[in-house]
Amino acid sequence: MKFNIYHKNKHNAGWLFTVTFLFASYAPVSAQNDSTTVNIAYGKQDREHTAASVAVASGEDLRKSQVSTLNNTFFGRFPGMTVIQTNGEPGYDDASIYLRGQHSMRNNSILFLLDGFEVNNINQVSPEEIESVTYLKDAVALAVYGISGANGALLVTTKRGSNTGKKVNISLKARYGIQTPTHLPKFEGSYNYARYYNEALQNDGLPLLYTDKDLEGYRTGNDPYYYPDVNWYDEILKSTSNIQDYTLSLSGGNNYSRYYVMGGFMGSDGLYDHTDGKNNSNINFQRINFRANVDIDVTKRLSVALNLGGRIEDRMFPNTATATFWQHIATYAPNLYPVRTPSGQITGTANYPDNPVGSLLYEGYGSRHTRDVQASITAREKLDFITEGLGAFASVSMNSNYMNGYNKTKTYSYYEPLRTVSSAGNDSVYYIQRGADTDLTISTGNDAEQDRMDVMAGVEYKRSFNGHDLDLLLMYRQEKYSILGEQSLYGKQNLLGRLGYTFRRKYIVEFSFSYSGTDNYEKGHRFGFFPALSLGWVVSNEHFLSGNRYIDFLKLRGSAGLLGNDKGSGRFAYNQYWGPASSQGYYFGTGVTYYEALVQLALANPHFTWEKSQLYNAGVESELFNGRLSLTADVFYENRYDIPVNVSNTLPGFSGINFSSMLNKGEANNKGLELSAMYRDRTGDFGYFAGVSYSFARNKIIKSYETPRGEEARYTQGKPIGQRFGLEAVGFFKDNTDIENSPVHTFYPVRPGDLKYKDQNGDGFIDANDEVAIRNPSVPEISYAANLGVSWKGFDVELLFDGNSNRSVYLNGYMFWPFINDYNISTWAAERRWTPENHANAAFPRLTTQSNANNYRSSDFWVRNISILRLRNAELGYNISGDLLRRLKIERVRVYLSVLNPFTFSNLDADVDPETLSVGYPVLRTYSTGIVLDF
Amino acid sequence: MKHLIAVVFLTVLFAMISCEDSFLEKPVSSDLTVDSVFVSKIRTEQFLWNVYSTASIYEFNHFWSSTDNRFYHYGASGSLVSVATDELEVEGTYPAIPKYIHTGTWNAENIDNGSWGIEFMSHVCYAGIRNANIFIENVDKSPFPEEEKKSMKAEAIFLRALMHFDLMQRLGGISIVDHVLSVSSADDIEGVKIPRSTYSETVDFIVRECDEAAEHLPNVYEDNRYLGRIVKGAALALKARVLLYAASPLFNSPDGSTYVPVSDPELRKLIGYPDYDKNRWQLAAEASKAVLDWASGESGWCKLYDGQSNPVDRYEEIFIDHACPEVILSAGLAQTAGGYFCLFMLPGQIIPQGQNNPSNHAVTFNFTKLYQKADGTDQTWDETEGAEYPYSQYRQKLGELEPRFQASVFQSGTEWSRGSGTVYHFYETNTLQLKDVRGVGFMRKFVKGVRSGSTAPRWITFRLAEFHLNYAEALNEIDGSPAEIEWAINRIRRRVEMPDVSYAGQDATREIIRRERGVELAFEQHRFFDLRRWKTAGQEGLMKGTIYTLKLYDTKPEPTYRLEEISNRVWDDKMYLYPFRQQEVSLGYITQNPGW
Repeated sequence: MKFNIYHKNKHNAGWLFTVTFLFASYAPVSAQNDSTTVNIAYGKQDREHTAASVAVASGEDLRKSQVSTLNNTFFGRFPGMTVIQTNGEPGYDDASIYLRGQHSMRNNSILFLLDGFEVNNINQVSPEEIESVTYLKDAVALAVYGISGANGALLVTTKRGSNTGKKVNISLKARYGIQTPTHLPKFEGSYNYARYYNEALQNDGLPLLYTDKDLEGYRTGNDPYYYPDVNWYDEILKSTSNIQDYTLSLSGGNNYSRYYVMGGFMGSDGLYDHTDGKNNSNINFQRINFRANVDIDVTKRLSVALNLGGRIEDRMFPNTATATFWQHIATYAPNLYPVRTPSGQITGTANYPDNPVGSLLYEGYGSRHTRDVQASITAREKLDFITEGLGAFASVSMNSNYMNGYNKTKTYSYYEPLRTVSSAGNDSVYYIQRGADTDLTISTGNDAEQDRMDVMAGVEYKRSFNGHDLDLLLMYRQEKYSILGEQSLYGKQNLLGRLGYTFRRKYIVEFSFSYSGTDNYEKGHRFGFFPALSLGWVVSNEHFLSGNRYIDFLKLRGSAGLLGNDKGSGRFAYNQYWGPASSQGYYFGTGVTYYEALVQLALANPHFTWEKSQLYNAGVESELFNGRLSLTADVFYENRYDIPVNVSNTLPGFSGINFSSMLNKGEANNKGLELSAMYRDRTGDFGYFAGVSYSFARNKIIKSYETPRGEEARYTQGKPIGQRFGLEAVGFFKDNTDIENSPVHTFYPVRPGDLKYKDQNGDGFIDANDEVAIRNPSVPEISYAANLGVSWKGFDVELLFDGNSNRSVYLNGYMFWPFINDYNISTWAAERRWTPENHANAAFPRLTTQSNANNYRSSDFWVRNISILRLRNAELGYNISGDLLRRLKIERVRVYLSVLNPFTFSNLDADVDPETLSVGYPVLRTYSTGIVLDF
Repeated sequence: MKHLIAVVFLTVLFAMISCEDSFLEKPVSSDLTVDSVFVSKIRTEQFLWNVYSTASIYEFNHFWSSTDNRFYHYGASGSLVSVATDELEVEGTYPAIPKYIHTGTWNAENIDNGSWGIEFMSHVCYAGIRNANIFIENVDKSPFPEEEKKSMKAEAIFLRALMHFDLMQRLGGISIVDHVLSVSSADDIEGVKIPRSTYSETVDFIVRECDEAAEHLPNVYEDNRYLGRIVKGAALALKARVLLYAASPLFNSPDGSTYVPVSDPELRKLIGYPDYDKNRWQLAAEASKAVLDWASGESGWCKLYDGQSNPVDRYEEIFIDHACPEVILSAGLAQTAGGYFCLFMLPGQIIPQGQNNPSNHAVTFNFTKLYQKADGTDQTWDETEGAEYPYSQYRQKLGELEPRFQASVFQSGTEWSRGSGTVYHFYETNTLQLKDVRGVGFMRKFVKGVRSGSTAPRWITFRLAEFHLNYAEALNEIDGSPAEIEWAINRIRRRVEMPDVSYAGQDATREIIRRERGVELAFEQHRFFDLRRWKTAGQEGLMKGTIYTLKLYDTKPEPTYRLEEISNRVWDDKMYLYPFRQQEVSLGYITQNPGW
């Protein structure tokens, strides 16, 4: 836990460090973990000398969750950040990250920086090579990113070496885990499927499909070929899969140079059974990370830092898209066909040719191979001869990411079972062949490449004298970025600076700015100035608090500034383009000759500009009771304007502008707060800590330029971004009299047991005009986390909880629509379904075989508010110490057991994962065991 | 030396800052901008073709795709608009008129619902107007000689006027857009909300534009490959048609009454002239005469088609022959084989189309009664609804009708391609989907001989015959010379070898003219608007009430036919003008037409 605040208090700094050492994690091998400084944009700052709002997590904390994707380690680590799981597919399981919720209707993407240089993504950086991840929150922290800083930034800082004399610090880490789905929905077997299907047909007024004889056949299950009963989960999945990671790192240094070198391997398998990796493949993700960060003091004044970080990512997967594959597994009816014919051939039908077992084993596989290198060199010169504390630096960096694909593809013949009655009068099945077997064909492609080159240079000045602390930075940065297949490079320029001044360690003034621009806007409108100012007051350094027994540290701070967001602007949207368009020509002449025409393409907006954000933040940081309790609180308000919105819906058709017309006219605001507290103490061999955090962010669309509507309630303006809209369900139709006495439901002819809606506009009809805002927005407004730990002698236990609230999910799609396309019915739906007898207690509409557009649409019946609390990670560790180790020249040995996602609590009444709604690859629970050896 | 490095740092820093300008410049690329379009002759011309294409003179949507919305605005979805009148009935998946207009369920909300609409999409018309305005405002930059620039600009001005007429004939007074509207800032949004002009102002605008265009347009393009470009006659023709509409009872009501009660005097001005003025007929007559005079004089080529040896072929050929000298303006059609033209226009599956769900335009019995016998007398239609009559009687009675009926209607017992020897009997069960024909026969006008793979006809916007009838109609209203009226009508009748008619007093002659107009211009998208401007659409059997057919049955021993109802159509007088789409009205700057 690093989001609490430390400060440089001689009296108890060492003590605190010890606590951190023991409970939070092992200190990293490098000595950079100076808890009083924090990595910020283009530098480090002393906590006492900054008035910016940031949250930090160390690599050591992040590595505790054994996952293959970095942002899945962010759960619960950063107050103000909401992390939502998307799925568990190894290599493709990036979580959704929201920093203080959503800010813009247009674009909320976050800025990522790796050692100061912008990168597209940080998700495949190994937590092992990370010193810390900093989340920059307020204007003064972000202003230096100017035109692209408004959505918040995450800074990854990698580890560096320190002067260790002759010693080389060697660290070896190994961890092995087994993964299993946290949850798989339950579906009915053939007997119940057939019974409910008949009920659905009866509800629809259609003739029944399954005879009593059929039902009896399914019930007894005596003939698995005539009456198949297949659970596709059982056929496809193994009970567990593996994940493992190993890291070796070396670090050290002397008076002239310092180094940190690491190599790591991570591998994670999918849950699919019976694959061989040659003709077919399980999901598989393997990654090698390596890094060398070297610092060399060339002269007394000049130093050079060389960073080289890279990775190799290899992914394999079956050829059916994962989401589709899991849809098939979940929904294919149990009686659709047996998995194989009696002679072992794969079955299938013309309508359902994709027998999941066939898709997995007989269609080859796909693979993707990614290589990523980031390299940078920085030269740093001390300019003490001009004035003490002055320095200059320049650096160049490149980042290349290349991916190619390699696929093996084949088709197979499958056999459609057809039922017949033999001459003897017995039921029998025969099979007809469909499709054909082909050999594996190999294809390559899916190439993608991005290259980025950054250049930075600047001067810095850092000096303390007579109670004045000065920290100045002025620098220039430029960036060129190219994407394979795009005509123009992307360019950015930034002249930025920061002026920090602290008087007598009590009063902090910090001013930061950026004058930055991109090539994406019209000449003359490319640059913007983004200033931010913060003020801080370290109250605890005032004489009236010095020596106070309870208050060790107390800082109040506030900031305000202007930020920009250039993402979401169309490429060169200021330019009006013209071009030929297919079939827009005209026919002249007796021979009807085609004359090609030239058309004006999408309407340009010459004044197109970036979104702007006025961001205000105020906070308090404190340490109380001899450092036992630390408290941090932040409140913020953001006014986002110039958001690009498509105004064409508010334009008359008479403008002749039929295509989207983006103007910087949208407005939204966002406000919220973050609180965090950490209590830690130790008596003798027994130590413990408890940290909690709470974040809240609520946004509102102020101006949206929507299609004019008759019903005020249908506007998104005035409501949060991602507000859900739908009908208000008032129950189920009881009987035909009920239907006759209700407004006309226009979507689909209703029958008893269908959903009944409220006529919002009172026109006697239920249609799209009756939609209103329902439930909470889709992105959580509230996130919370708790981190608890105890230690006793060599043992320690840590629990990390994470959760969110004030959000809604929309239960729709195949999990909730039984019998659509003859899909399976979940036990959950079957148990809750409406029947005339169960009218009072029903919690699911009547069963139907039709695409019932009345029931299956957005309404507050399907849109549910949810809250989640999960135990994200639990770890039990033991640190071995003693003479033996010393004799073996081993500094430390730690062994531990951990479990990821052991419990998730939610108030969602549905048999699905509350976040992913069990669409796609399931969320995983991982049981891990690991060892750390430091030499 | 030690300091050198620091100096280098600073130099590099400031060097980079100073090169800001070029660093962010967009690289040279193959993109076209307005400056590179109108400096090139070829591109300027290509943009004019775009104006042609979007300010469409196609009067029905013969082609569409999701990425191509050129043809949405003119004509109905999946059929001719004639399906909404007594001329035709249609059955198929695509046509929207039977679903919405026949049932009276069309309204401001659904008029342009979805991507196809029902009939007409005003905003797509304005997209054409926008392109015309872009062209008009930029053509002067082009390297063409002055004369050519003027002439090309006149083409765009004409097309802009045609689009405004297109809107006016459906909506009354409309928003006039005579410059490029931009919305590069929010302040512009109010600027593009142009309120409706009065009916009178709209007429004046279009007439003025036609006059201006006529001044610079050529009478003919030397090169035949430009057949289909706007000639002077087209501008005169549009003016004549606009003035005829403006003089007609719907807009120029002799008693000042409106088609539905309107109390707001401002609204009254939007839907027509508040007062009657007989002189409007005078203007209409003069404008039509100007077209006729242009044809016989200045044009040097324009005349009523008189080729072919027999009147049936002669009438048919007008719509087939691309170079027909009667056609003042027409548009080329792209699609033949498998395309939407075949799908909509050809009967059943006679021509292999590669498309399911043909539209099957079928001629109604109501409309058949408009045709005289070849000798100029009326056919005896004494059939009783539901009773059976012999097939031979169907053949005989229809066979006696005048040449234009024979040319326009594909009847049971005839060949599709004359001389092919293949005779189709619609009562027979076959795979051609002819059995369920809902009309007296299928429409064959426009599509004679058209089959998969053959060249499509051109779609006619203006042909000279119309202006004879316009002239006659306007003259009759101002008590013009009976001889002149007779001359105009009989020129049309003689061409198809029909006996002359004589002036019979103003009221009776009005009926003669209207009937002649119906027959001569059948299915050409006129009647849908003529019945409105005459204020007769609401009469039983025209756009309201029961539509009949002669339905064939494969009875034994002889096939029979019965007079049967095929359609019952809802009409409300508010429908004389279309509603503005609700989206526009909700923006708060458009006054909705009365009743909607």
